[in-house]
Amino acid sequence: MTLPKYQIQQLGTSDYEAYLTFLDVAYACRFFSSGKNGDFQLRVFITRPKDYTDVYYNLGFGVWNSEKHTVDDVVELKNGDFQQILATIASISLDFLEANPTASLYAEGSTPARTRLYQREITRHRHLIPENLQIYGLIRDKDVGFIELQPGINFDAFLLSLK
Amino acid sequence: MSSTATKSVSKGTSLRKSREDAQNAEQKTDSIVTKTLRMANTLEKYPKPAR
Repeated sequence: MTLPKYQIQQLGTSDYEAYLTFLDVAYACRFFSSGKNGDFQLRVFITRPKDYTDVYYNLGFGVWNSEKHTVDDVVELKNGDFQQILATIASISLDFLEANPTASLYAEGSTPARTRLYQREITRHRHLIPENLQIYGLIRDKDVGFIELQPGINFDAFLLSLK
Repeated sequence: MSSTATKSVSKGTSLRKSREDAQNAEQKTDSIVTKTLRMANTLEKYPKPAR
Protein backbone atom coordinates (compact mmCIF):
# COMPACT_ATOMS: atom_id res chain seq x y z
CA MET A 1 0.00 0.00 0.00
CA THR A 2 1.28 3.45 -0.81
CA LEU A 3 -0.12 6.86 0.05
CA PRO A 4 -1.13 9.29 -2.69
CA LYS A 5 1.57 11.83 -3.51
CA TYR A 6 1.83 14.99 -5.54
CA GLN A 7 3.81 15.18 -8.73
CA ILE A 8 7.02 17.11 -8.21
CA GLN A 9 8.95 19.44 -10.51
CA GLN A 10 12.68 19.94 -10.00
CA LEU A 11 13.84 23.51 -9.53
CA GLY A 12 16.80 24.96 -11.39
CA THR A 13 19.64 26.99 -9.87
CA SER A 14 18.03 30.22 -11.08
CA ASP A 15 15.01 29.46 -8.87
CA TYR A 16 17.05 29.63 -5.66
CA GLU A 17 20.08 31.71 -6.61
CA ALA A 18 19.69 33.91 -3.52
CA TYR A 19 20.14 30.90 -1.23
CA LEU A 20 23.54 30.14 -2.70
CA THR A 21 25.10 32.97 -0.71
CA PHE A 22 24.38 30.99 2.44
CA LEU A 23 23.66 27.40 1.47
CA ASP A 24 24.72 24.40 -0.53
CA VAL A 25 21.50 23.22 -2.18
CA ALA A 26 21.65 19.47 -2.75
CA TYR A 27 18.07 19.11 -3.98
CA ALA A 28 15.19 21.46 -4.74
CA CYS A 29 11.73 20.89 -6.13
CA ARG A 30 8.20 22.20 -6.04
CA PHE A 31 4.74 20.76 -6.12
CA PHE A 32 1.22 22.09 -5.84
CA SER A 33 -1.09 21.42 -2.94
CA SER A 34 -4.60 21.24 -4.25
CA GLY A 35 -7.49 21.25 -1.80
CA LYS A 36 -10.49 22.95 -0.32
CA ASN A 37 -8.76 26.34 0.01
CA GLY A 38 -7.25 26.34 -3.48
CA ASP A 39 -3.91 25.60 -5.10
CA PHE A 40 -0.66 26.51 -3.36
CA GLN A 41 2.89 26.09 -4.50
CA LEU A 42 5.12 24.32 -2.00
CA ARG A 43 8.88 24.17 -2.30
CA VAL A 44 11.15 21.53 -0.81
CA PHE A 45 14.85 22.05 -0.20
CA ILE A 46 17.57 19.72 0.99
CA THR A 47 20.39 21.96 2.08
CA ARG A 48 23.42 22.39 4.27
CA PRO A 49 25.35 25.51 5.17
CA LYS A 50 27.80 26.72 2.58
CA ASP A 51 31.29 25.23 3.07
CA TYR A 52 29.87 22.73 5.60
CA THR A 53 31.72 19.44 5.26
CA ASP A 54 29.54 17.09 7.34
CA VAL A 55 27.07 14.77 5.66
CA TYR A 56 24.07 16.25 7.46
CA TYR A 57 21.43 17.96 5.38
CA ASN A 58 18.37 19.89 6.41
CA LEU A 59 15.01 18.94 4.99
CA GLY A 60 12.95 22.09 4.68
CA PHE A 61 9.69 22.85 2.97
CA GLY A 62 6.91 25.37 2.99
CA VAL A 63 4.58 27.51 0.97
CA TRP A 64 6.25 29.61 -1.70
CA ASN A 65 5.68 33.35 -1.24
CA SER A 66 6.00 34.64 -4.79
CA GLU A 67 6.11 38.27 -3.67
CA LYS A 68 8.92 37.94 -1.15
CA HIS A 69 10.57 35.01 -2.94
CA THR A 70 10.82 33.13 0.31
CA VAL A 71 9.52 29.85 1.71
CA ASP A 72 7.00 30.29 4.50
CA ASP A 73 6.97 27.28 6.81
CA VAL A 74 4.68 28.85 9.39
CA VAL A 75 1.55 29.50 7.36
CA GLU A 76 -1.20 26.90 7.82
CA LEU A 77 -2.88 26.00 4.54
CA LYS A 78 -5.67 23.91 6.04
CA ASN A 79 -6.14 22.56 2.56
CA GLY A 80 -7.27 19.15 3.76
CA ASP A 81 -4.35 17.34 2.13
CA PHE A 82 -1.58 17.33 4.72
CA GLN A 83 -1.20 13.55 4.49
CA GLN A 84 -0.61 13.80 0.76
CA ILE A 85 1.88 16.63 1.37
CA LEU A 86 3.75 14.60 3.99
CA ALA A 87 3.73 11.51 1.77
CA THR A 88 5.29 13.60 -0.99
CA ILE A 89 7.96 14.91 1.39
CA ALA A 90 8.64 11.40 2.71
CA SER A 91 9.08 10.07 -0.82
CA ILE A 92 11.51 12.90 -1.67
CA SER A 93 13.48 12.14 1.51
CA LEU A 94 13.76 8.43 0.75
CA ASP A 95 14.80 9.08 -2.84
CA PHE A 96 17.48 11.50 -1.62
CA LEU A 97 18.87 9.03 0.93
CA GLU A 98 18.90 6.22 -1.59
CA ALA A 99 20.86 8.44 -3.99
CA ASN A 100 23.12 9.64 -1.15
CA PRO A 101 23.44 6.65 1.19
CA THR A 102 26.04 8.25 3.47
CA ALA A 103 23.91 11.35 4.06
CA SER A 104 21.66 12.04 7.05
CA LEU A 105 18.56 14.18 6.79
CA TYR A 106 17.56 16.46 9.64
CA ALA A 107 13.94 17.53 9.98
CA GLU A 108 12.37 19.83 12.53
CA GLY A 109 8.90 21.31 12.48
CA SER A 110 8.47 25.08 12.49
CA THR A 111 6.61 24.71 15.80
CA PRO A 112 6.54 21.97 18.49
CA ALA A 113 2.98 21.15 17.37
CA ARG A 114 4.16 20.53 13.82
CA THR A 115 7.06 18.40 15.01
CA ARG A 116 4.56 16.33 17.00
CA LEU A 117 2.34 16.05 13.93
CA TYR A 118 5.28 14.72 11.89
CA GLN A 119 6.04 12.23 14.66
CA ARG A 120 2.44 11.05 14.76
CA GLU A 121 2.44 10.52 11.00
CA ILE A 122 5.76 8.64 11.10
CA THR A 123 4.42 6.38 13.86
CA ARG A 124 1.08 5.89 12.11
CA HIS A 125 2.74 4.85 8.85
CA ARG A 126 5.63 2.96 10.37
CA HIS A 127 4.60 -0.14 8.43
CA LEU A 128 5.25 1.75 5.17
CA ILE A 129 8.75 2.86 6.16
CA PRO A 130 11.54 0.79 4.59
CA GLU A 131 13.37 -1.46 7.04
CA ASN A 132 16.72 0.01 6.08
CA LEU A 133 15.69 3.49 7.19
CA GLN A 134 17.05 4.52 10.58
CA ILE A 135 15.14 7.28 12.39
CA TYR A 136 16.53 9.03 15.42
CA GLY A 137 14.63 11.55 17.50
CA LEU A 138 16.21 14.48 19.30
CA ILE A 139 15.51 15.27 22.95
CA ARG A 140 16.90 18.67 23.89
CA ASP A 141 15.64 18.43 27.47
CA LYS A 142 18.53 17.59 29.82
CA ASP A 143 20.75 17.42 26.74
CA VAL A 144 19.72 13.81 26.05
CA GLY A 145 20.51 14.17 22.34
CA PHE A 146 19.47 11.73 19.59
CA ILE A 147 17.99 8.36 20.46
CA GLU A 148 16.16 5.79 18.35
CA LEU A 149 12.64 6.87 17.59
CA GLN A 150 10.09 5.33 19.93
CA PRO A 151 6.44 5.96 20.64
CA GLY A 152 5.36 7.83 23.75
CA ILE A 153 8.19 10.37 23.69
CA ASN A 154 7.87 13.86 22.25
CA PHE A 155 10.91 14.57 20.13
CA ASP A 156 12.24 17.97 19.11
CA ALA A 157 13.60 16.95 15.71
CA PHE A 158 14.39 13.88 13.62
CA LEU A 159 17.43 12.51 11.87
CA LEU A 160 16.97 10.04 9.04
CA SER A 161 19.62 7.90 7.43
CA LEU A 162 20.00 4.51 5.80
CA LYS A 163 21.26 1.62 7.97
CA MET B 1 27.00 66.62 -17.90
CA SER B 2 29.51 63.96 -17.16
CA SER B 3 29.10 64.51 -13.44
CA THR B 4 25.31 64.05 -13.87
CA ALA B 5 25.95 60.79 -15.70
CA THR B 6 28.32 59.67 -12.96
CA LYS B 7 25.82 60.60 -10.31
CA SER B 8 23.10 58.71 -12.15
CA VAL B 9 25.21 55.56 -12.43
CA SER B 10 26.20 55.89 -8.82
CA LYS B 11 22.58 56.29 -7.77
CA GLY B 12 21.59 53.29 -9.88
CA THR B 13 24.33 51.20 -8.33
CA SER B 14 23.31 52.33 -4.89
CA LEU B 15 19.67 51.43 -5.55
CA ARG B 16 20.66 48.03 -6.91
CA LYS B 17 22.83 47.42 -3.86
CA SER B 18 19.97 48.44 -1.58
CA ARG B 19 17.68 45.99 -3.37
CA GLU B 20 20.29 43.24 -3.11
CA ASP B 21 20.85 44.02 0.56
CA ALA B 22 17.10 43.92 1.17
CA GLN B 23 16.82 40.63 -0.68
CA ASN B 24 19.78 39.21 1.24
CA ALA B 25 18.19 40.31 4.50
CA GLU B 26 14.96 38.60 3.48
CA GLN B 27 16.82 35.43 2.49
CA LYS B 28 18.66 35.43 5.80
CA THR B 29 15.33 35.22 7.57
CA ASP B 30 13.89 32.73 5.08
CA SER B 31 12.90 29.51 6.84
CA ILE B 32 15.14 27.38 4.63
CA VAL B 33 18.21 29.42 5.53
CA THR B 34 17.48 29.79 9.24
CA LYS B 35 16.59 26.14 9.71
CA THR B 36 19.66 24.93 7.85
CA LEU B 37 21.90 27.03 10.08
CA ARG B 38 19.98 25.81 13.12
CA MET B 39 20.53 22.21 12.00
CA ALA B 40 24.31 22.74 11.91
CA ASN B 41 24.25 24.19 15.42
CA THR B 42 22.08 21.37 16.72
CA LEU B 43 24.25 18.62 15.26
CA GLU B 44 27.37 20.24 16.62
CA LYS B 45 25.84 20.08 20.08
CA TYR B 46 24.12 16.70 19.66
CA PRO B 47 26.08 14.48 17.27
CA LYS B 48 24.40 11.56 15.54
CA PRO B 49 24.73 8.36 17.63
CA ALA B 50 27.37 5.92 16.44
CA ARG B 51 25.88 2.85 14.78
